[in-house]
Amino acid sequence: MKRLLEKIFTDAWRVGFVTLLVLLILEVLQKGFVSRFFNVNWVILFLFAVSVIILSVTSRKQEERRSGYASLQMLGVVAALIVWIGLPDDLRVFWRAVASGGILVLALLSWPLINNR
Amino acid sequence: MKHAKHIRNAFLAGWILIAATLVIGIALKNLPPDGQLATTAFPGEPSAFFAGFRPEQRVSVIPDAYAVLEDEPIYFAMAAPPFFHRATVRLEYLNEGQPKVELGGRASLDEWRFELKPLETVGSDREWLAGEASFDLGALAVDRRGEVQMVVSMPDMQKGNYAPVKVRRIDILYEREPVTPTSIIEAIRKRL
Repeated sequence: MKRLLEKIFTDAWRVGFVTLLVLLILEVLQKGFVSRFFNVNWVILFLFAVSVIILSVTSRKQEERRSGYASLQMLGVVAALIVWIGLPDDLRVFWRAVASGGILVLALLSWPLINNR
Repeated sequence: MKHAKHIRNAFLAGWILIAATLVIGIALKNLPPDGQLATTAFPGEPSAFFAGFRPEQRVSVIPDAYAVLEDEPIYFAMAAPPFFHRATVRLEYLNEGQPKVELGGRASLDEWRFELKPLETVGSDREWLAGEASFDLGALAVDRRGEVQMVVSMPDMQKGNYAPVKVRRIDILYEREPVTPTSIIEAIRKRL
């Protein structure tokens, strides 16, 4: 079951990553093509969430999991930064901090959850 | 697990379907088949199509109600989506004594010059009027961010008539030719 879940969410990560690339290419080719109608941060958050799930169901060696956790932390910092920058300018700093801080806390909390499995 | 492969494939198809729906949905928003893209904005809530009135010292925004234009000229940035040729801007406003309210679009990136048009009244709701002006996007100066600078002008304020104008809603209708199989073939043929 764990192996199946890992495969399912690895597929989801790949599809999400390709989608993110396609959206970024469209935005670079034509500014506003994507960003006027859709916030790309949602795809980044999706990738982040799927990464957490993959790490939590994967059954690899401790060292590999540590390096996976380090990657997750890095991804968490990048995602938090992108969310901070990407959220609308008129949004209050409090909500900006809640969104970015929430991602960072999630990245930090994910380790004990994964480790205790 | 007996059906593991089928389950995985079913999920994969689901992920791909969600991703394709997202990308096609965004493409359809940019190129609507009927050739019309309608957006609505409110003065206190800047959107991807309307960046809010400025400068701030000439505008008082009453949250969830309206913006009071206390001096002139008032500027705002409006998105100019690349595939549309025409934009009709409609303001819902309450005029408290200005004989002339005009809307303009920046005509050149090299100079601060605007193509001004009087607001044509197209409807009313008690004292609130709906006035609109249409602009050929090809004739306006679109900057690198894909925006056009617009202006609300009340020339009599310069002559001492300080009656404010309140704006509660901004509707923008972008138009292009409808997308049909013939128009797609024609567009491809033009590029070959």
